[in-house]
Amino acid sequence: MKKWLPIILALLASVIASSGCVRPHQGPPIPVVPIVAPIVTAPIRVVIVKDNATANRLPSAQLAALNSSNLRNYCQSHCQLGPDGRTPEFRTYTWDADLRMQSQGIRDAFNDAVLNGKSSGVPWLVVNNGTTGYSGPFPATDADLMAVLKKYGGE
Amino acid sequence: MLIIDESNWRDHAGENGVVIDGGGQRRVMACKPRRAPVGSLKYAVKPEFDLIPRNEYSSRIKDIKAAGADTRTLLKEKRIPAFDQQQTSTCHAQSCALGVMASRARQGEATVILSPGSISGPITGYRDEGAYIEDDLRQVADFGVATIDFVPPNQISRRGWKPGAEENAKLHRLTQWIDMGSKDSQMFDRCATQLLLGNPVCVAYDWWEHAVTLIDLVEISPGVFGFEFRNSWGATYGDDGYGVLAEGRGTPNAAYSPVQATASTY
Repeated sequence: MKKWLPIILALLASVIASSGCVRPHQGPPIPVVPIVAPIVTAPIRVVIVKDNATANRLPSAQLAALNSSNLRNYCQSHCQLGPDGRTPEFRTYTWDADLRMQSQGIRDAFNDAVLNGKSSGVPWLVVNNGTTGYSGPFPATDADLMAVLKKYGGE
Repeated sequence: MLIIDESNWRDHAGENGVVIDGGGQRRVMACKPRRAPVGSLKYAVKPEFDLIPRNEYSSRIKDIKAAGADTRTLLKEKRIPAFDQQQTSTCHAQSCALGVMASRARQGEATVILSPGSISGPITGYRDEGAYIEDDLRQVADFGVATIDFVPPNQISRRGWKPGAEENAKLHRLTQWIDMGSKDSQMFDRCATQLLLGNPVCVAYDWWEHAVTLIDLVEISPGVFGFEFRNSWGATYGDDGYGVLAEGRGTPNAAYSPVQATASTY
């Protein structure tokens, strides 16, 4: 049986080729697409620091984004939970808040915001997922804000 | 929507300190007029901020509503229920407790239901009587407000306080608030600016002898503005506990805006 196997396979191949089921590739070469592992985003921590005395000078769209339900809802589902196991690590404070009773992660993000943002006089946003993140002026619109959040926290 | 304005305010004002609300409940009106001069209240910031121009009110209200940035939406999301002071004289404390809860909600702290009774008791000597709203805020700034797990919401006497109430109250202090002063030509605009920023405003009305918490600036009709407020007469009052006070009758005699509460999750 073994000696007939190559002959049977050859006959089968010629039948398939003549039937048109398999056609040799013609045209430009098919590009090789690398297989990439999906980006794994970790839960984020979000801290906003604002100055109540100057918030009235913010453009309307930016102020609305600062208090938006989009921001709250996103953080509700994408932020890591705090020490109580149920409150997302998402906070908004004024510059002079006393954070002695907050988690170390919130305090670190707050200190980052105060250190970098106080001189600019604008609301400051800190987003981090443990390995990378954003620390910069609070985005001007809700769409810009969501883009920053999704970059580090995923869809 | 319940709107109180110059045409109907007498229907809402009481006689001899008592009013029957829309649900037939007898309510005691007991908020005393302001007495403390601006600048004398601990932790309070003077109202030295630029006012948002009136010609921006309409568009800003629309932007806020579209983004769900209004405080009413925030309170709904955080499941903060309407207070009901029942037959007590504690409107002043109810207003402050809701103000602190709204500030905590804006900060992102966990929702805890605070007890107005833990504010009014100490400032009235544990008696059921009216008070100055600034005394309530001073109490909250100095000692904080306990949750209803430690002090029942309308508790009058000291007897109902559970052990640990004072320690619990320290977690919920006001660390910054704005003393908005007394009624003058700019009082409406000062309140409107704070509401547009997302800060609640605790207010007292002399004509009503009552204190409530202003929640949002609203446009009643084109160019006519008012304050959406949350009363402390339960969810059956107005629209789920909310009403609107139109400019004029709705411009408060005294106003205080909680800006920052203790940063504590619990």
